[in-house]
Amino acid sequence: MSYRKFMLWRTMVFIIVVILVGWSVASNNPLIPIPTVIAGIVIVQLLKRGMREVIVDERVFSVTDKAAMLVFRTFVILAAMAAATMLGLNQERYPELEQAGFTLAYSVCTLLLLYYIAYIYYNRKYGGKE
Amino acid sequence: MANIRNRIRRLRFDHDEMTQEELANLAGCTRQTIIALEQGKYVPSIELAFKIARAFGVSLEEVFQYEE
Repeated sequence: MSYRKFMLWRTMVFIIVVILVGWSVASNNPLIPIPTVIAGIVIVQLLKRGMREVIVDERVFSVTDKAAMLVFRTFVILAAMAAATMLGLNQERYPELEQAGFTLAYSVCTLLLLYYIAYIYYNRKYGGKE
Repeated sequence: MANIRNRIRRLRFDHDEMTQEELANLAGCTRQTIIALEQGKYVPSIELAFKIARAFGVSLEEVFQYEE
């Protein structure tokens, strides 16, 4: 299977999974999303095995790293600002925003903590330990 | 982008018009990476640079040059 065919099949699988998950959420059916996502992952892995070309290499990892870091930084900054805004608003007028603000704030803190742990792990793994 | 130039396109031509896909398979990377390297948009790791040089049967310096 060529790279283009693989990408086409992968996109089709992704669209089908999204449609099925969306439909299950709309119809309040909680049993469909998990097996659908698992089946999607399994199908994509099977498609990868049928590839004769290399489809993942250091450039792909580099692009993935940069994209992930950009999304992480953007999310943390925007979510922190949103959380501060929600918590700073008048709590008596907008009581529901307090819960949302705390949820967002804790999410940001958890994300930063996980990032810090992962950073320490990889820093030590790649010789950063003194 | 670092000042590292390469002669991959020229070397492919010299090796009986080796295709990008053939070079990618020999070096163990994707064809998109070979395209990015030839366009100067990506600088490879030392490991990939050695693999590309080995695919052509030449030394690293014959493929990649660092310019001050």
